[in-house]
Amino acid sequence: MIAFRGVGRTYHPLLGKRVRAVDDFSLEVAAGEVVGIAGPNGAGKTTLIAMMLGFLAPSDGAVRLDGQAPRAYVERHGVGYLPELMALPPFWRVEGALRRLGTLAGVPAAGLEAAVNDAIERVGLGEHRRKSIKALSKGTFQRLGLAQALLRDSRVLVFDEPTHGLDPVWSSRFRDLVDGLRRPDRTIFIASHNLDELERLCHRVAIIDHGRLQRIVSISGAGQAATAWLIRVADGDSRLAAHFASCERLADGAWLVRAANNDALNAGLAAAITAGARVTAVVPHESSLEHQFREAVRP
Amino acid sequence: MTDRSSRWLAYVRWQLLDSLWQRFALPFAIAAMLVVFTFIAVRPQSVTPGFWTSPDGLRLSAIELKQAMMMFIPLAVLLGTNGMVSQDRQKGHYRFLFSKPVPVPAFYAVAWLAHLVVAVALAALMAAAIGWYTTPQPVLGVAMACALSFVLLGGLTVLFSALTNQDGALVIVVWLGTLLARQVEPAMDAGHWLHTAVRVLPPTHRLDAMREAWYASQPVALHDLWHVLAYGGACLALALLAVRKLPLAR
Repeated sequence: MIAFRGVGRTYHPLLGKRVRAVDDFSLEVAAGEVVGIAGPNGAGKTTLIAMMLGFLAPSDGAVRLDGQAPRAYVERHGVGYLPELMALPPFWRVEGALRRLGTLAGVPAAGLEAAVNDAIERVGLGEHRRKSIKALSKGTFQRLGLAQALLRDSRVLVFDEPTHGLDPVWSSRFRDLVDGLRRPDRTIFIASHNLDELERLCHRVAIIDHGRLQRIVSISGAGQAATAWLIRVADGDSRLAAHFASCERLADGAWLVRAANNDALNAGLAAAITAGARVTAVVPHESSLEHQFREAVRP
Repeated sequence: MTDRSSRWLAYVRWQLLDSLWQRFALPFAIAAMLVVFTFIAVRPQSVTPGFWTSPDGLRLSAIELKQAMMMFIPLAVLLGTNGMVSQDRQKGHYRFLFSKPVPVPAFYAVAWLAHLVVAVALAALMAAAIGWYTTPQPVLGVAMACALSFVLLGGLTVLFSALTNQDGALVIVVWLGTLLARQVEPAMDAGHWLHTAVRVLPPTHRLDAMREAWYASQPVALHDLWHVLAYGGACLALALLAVRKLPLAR
């Protein structure tokens, strides 16, 4: 559905040095996939998205959406896009903004009212629908951005830092929303700094740094996400240590335990508890994605 | 009617509203101010019965209309088209607008037409208001003069807007440069480069000639009309080509 083939992009400022923002980036994303892209600030995520939507032409290589050049695809089918940099005229009102963007998105006049109401309902903008954009908080504005991306039944959805500015409640609801948007013929592309969010939502996560693809991490399931945990025990410290190959006591009294997966963790805990350890807390310390991210992205 | 054309028709409503409330809010205020000042200026003569049908009255009303339009039309066109493309680019509105199934040139062509309609309507309203207070004015001629000014100056502005972020300033420089060049050029020797330069500059002299003719309800020279239409149309076409070919994210 989305193909980056050897894509590169160099910026040539009038003054100053040229900047290679993306270099030899290749990635194929199939229909039905939810793919994340993670990287530090300035890694090239937003440039990649700009090329994917045809806002920017690659200096090298090619981007294709359903086999077409990005601008041709977008002008024909449209893409549900939530940009990282939210900008709409401040005097527009929430409902009016959604109506006009819905019209532009090709929502038929007969269904526009329902589409706008549905989008408002989905992102909880009911109490803000008559407010002007300049009166919205950062998080509410972000939800408006999300609402406009969902107005049209698009086969490609692109979310750039979707939970930036959202409170924990709406960050969690965003995950539910994306779960509800999954469809065999739909591709969802999420760029985010939030590795936990990507790990929960995506089938694969591409990690980029300095414009280059460092690695692609397949997320096999939430149960296998973490590889290290912080464990606290009321007593029986030695019994805990005896049942894990990698077990290290931290300064605050917690144990940092590494296990291959969730099953290995449970087996070790069961053995320790049977032996008399009293476990009071088990918290994931570092997910496999986070671990891979740390390995791939070095300062 | 196709799905696409009905969508455009639906969106034109929003373009017109933007044009009225956003772009032309200031020109509207300027128009209202100019009309009010015109009323105040001619008020002493208005009390004389039959003045507005006398030769003096007809001459005065024509002068008042011309003065008001001389100030209004260039300002309205400049304010109406300044930043049309560059503001969307600079402020990032393009990310929302053009992730929708919308051809970029068509979007700006429709916006440009909506602004033209509003500018012409405002100029015609002004002429009608001055005509109501004094003596009937050539509203159609004023509308034509405004439309032609919009095609020429508005075409040039939108071209600069598609290419740079300094469109307003560039248009003012080119416009003033053109006026100065046309004043100086006749005094230059044959073969001077300025004779060649004025040929490629906007045909402001032809626009001025047509405006004079329209305000006086006289016919205009067709070659003047075609020159202005061709120049402005070419600028608009180049602008639409630029928004099609140049990256939006820059």
